[in-house]
Amino acid sequence: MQQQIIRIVPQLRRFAFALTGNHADADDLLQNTIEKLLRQAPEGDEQDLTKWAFRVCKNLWIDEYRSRKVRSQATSQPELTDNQTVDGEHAIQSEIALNQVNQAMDKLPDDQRSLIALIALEGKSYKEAAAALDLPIGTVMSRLARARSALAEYLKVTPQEANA
Amino acid sequence: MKITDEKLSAFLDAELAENEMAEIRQQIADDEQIAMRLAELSMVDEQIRATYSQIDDQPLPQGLNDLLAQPSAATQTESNVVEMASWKKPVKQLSQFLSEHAAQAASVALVAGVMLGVFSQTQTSLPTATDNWQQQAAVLENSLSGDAFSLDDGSTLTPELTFINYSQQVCRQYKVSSSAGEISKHIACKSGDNWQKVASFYPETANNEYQTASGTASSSNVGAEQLMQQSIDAMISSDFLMPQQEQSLKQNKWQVK
Repeated sequence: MQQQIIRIVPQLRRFAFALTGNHADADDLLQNTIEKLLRQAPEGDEQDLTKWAFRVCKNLWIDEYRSRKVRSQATSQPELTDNQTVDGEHAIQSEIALNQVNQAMDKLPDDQRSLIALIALEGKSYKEAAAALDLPIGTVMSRLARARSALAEYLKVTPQEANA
Repeated sequence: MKITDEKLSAFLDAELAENEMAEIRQQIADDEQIAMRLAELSMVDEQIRATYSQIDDQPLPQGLNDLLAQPSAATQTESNVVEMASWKKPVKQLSQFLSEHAAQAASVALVAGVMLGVFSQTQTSLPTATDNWQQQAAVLENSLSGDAFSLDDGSTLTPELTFINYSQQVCRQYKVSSSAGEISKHIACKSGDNWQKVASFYPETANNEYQTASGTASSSNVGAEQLMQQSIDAMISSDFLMPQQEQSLKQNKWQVK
């Protein structure tokens, strides 16, 4: 079990980051997810564990982290973070890109944000995403397409606004 | 067929039937606007991946490492997920063989329940052992466990575990999923500057029924996963490496100091 969990930590961490939008909340969410997995993971193979882990992570995010969005947005401001790296320019550019993508992701409904993270970021199949989020495959397909369309629109506009 | 965003989105993920995929390919070739729209949707994925993969470069907080390192009650009581005890239970014959030969990087092909074959490196009859090997080695060199990579032949390679063997070499266990959906698992160790495949494990059937650790393998029909676990058990000198340890070793070109 422990090894199975260790194997899925990188993908679960990216998923948590895509949901929360900042490192601190992502690692906090990841830790809570892993604690829950260790306490009450279902019997089954690694696929079952992975599916369950993503579902737990998404549910914890909805229950406990979205209300902290104000804090998340504050901590994602470059001037408010305390972990500036030596490569300051690169770090600030990364923060700006993160802010832009976060702002676009924040406009998506929960399921769409989870789906784009599972499929575009983690490369899950529609079947795997449907199982993890307990949705029909047809719904996965339509909501994912809406998420991509919306993000394409938001991300197209944002850089122009930033340069204005 | 009307090309909607939903169709293009599913096309990007290769989740349409082949006839629909072909039709959209044709329309992309014929209609620049459709090609542009596909590019826009594809750019979304690129931005999402580039942005949220950044966290891979950040070390895991110590609290998380500690949590992952400590044995859990669940691990000790659940018997049909992964029996940790089975990782520690040596199978004498196989253990001895691997202990003696793994250091010389002998290649072992284990076909669960069908055969246990031993091949020297100079033989070429090991199924798929040399196919794409350079590419596989490059993935092992540049990736951490848990990340999946597509290879040129359409297969996907996912490193799953990393450990150090008794010869103080870094070894990695990884999974290869072929484009046809067949799954095999392998172990490779870093010897000098090169990765060398030490063992390959193939399921008994080719219909995706890869035996897992939860399989109730009998002595006459041992699951591929269980054989692999036994092999690792014979080779491993300490615990599996944590993500942070992997990151550190990767930066050191997988050389144990």
